[in-house]
Amino acid sequence: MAHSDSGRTVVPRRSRAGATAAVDRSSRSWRRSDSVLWRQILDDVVLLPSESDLDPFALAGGAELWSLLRERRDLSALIASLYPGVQSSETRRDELLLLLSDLERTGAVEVTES
Amino acid sequence: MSMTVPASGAVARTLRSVCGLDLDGATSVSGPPLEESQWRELVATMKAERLEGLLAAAVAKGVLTTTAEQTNAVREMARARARLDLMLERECLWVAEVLKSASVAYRMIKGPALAHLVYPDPSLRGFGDVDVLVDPSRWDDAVFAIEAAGSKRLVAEIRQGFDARFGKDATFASPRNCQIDLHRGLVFGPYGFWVDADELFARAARTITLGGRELPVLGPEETFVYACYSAALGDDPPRIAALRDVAEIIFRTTLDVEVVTSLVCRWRGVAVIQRALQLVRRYLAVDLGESVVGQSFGRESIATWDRVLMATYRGPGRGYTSQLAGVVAIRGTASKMRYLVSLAFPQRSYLNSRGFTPVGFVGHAARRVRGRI
Repeated sequence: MAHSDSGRTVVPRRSRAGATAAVDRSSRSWRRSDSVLWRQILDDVVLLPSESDLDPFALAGGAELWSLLRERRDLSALIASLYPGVQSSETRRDELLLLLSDLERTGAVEVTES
Repeated sequence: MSMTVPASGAVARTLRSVCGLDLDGATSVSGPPLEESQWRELVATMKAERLEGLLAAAVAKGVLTTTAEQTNAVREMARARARLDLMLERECLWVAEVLKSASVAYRMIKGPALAHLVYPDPSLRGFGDVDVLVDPSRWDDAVFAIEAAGSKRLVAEIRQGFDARFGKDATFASPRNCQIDLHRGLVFGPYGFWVDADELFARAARTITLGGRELPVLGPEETFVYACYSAALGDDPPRIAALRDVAEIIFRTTLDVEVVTSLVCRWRGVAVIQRALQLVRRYLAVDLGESVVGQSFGRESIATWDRVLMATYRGPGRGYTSQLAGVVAIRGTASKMRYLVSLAFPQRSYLNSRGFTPVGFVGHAARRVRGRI
């Protein structure tokens, strides 16, 4: 699963300043929003929250994450599934949090505070 | 719009293989990646058919061997198609809300409905607009509601009152500039007039879920009949997507053949189903023989009168000839005359919206029809 701005992933993102808001949210869990429209294309996912006026955006290599988000999952569960047998690094954790935060902001995923 | 499918060669074999992906009896192909010119031909056809998602699935399943560059190209084009389809699905939700607010009964039909109803994955079936069948008795209310919500009709009514009495559909641009087709009937011409549109609303609707909301669609047998009408009478040559719709329904839906038979006998459409099945066999090379529908409609020859009528839906000027042929299905001399006068002498706003002068319209129709001779 990748998240880059190199022309493939186009999740609408916040500015750098906004990105710093991706703090530890281990008490949170995420799942797909019921109102999001989506398609899987190979290992990518294209998303459009139906209640927004956004343009559709792609989650390059995000098919596995999107599949996991069919059910509500917290960060630890997502990391364990996405990177089995690999020790979680702070960088990986922060990147995933940032991505989830971006998806949450677009309305593509719903978040629950436990 | 439709493409001429190559009749033979590597591209034709690959195309059949891709378009018949996961269908019973479809041919499979293996071998090295297509050469550049062949690849371009395949890609152009799949794009024109809005089947980029099916091409991506064929690559993912290894049915089609591609170079890394070709795989990337497929990924990009399938993603672009997905974006368009999702924007249209958002419009489906908008139209549904507008019609619901106006208390107009409707059914989502064609691309968006079929993609979610009969395909195992909606990305396999792209579409180009939003198609909605509305209760024919509420046609004017539906048009009013859509326009009041900010949509703009693209081609004016041919004559005042024509749509509510004889019309098949009307096309609008939504406030987000997506194309919305409101349908009052299934197809133009005689076979369209013979369909009792009220019957399409008689049975309880099934639903598809889009964006967490349930939208009504036609029953399975009505969906199948409509798919056959689209495949057999909609475009010439037929759209591959329309043929694939028919095959998908046959292979993935449980149909009550007695209900199908009853509907098409009442609607004089047995020959339309027969022709649709013939086209599916010819273009997709799938075997329908073992299916119940294939056994019920696949063996008898098509009657001469039906061959004549269906020929009006093909060839140059078919839009004019099929509508002209519609007169045979209209009851009453006065109604026939009113219909023919409307076709021959459209009102100014209709001509303007199509960019014709009165003389230019007649000349265009004559040239198109003459092209048949």
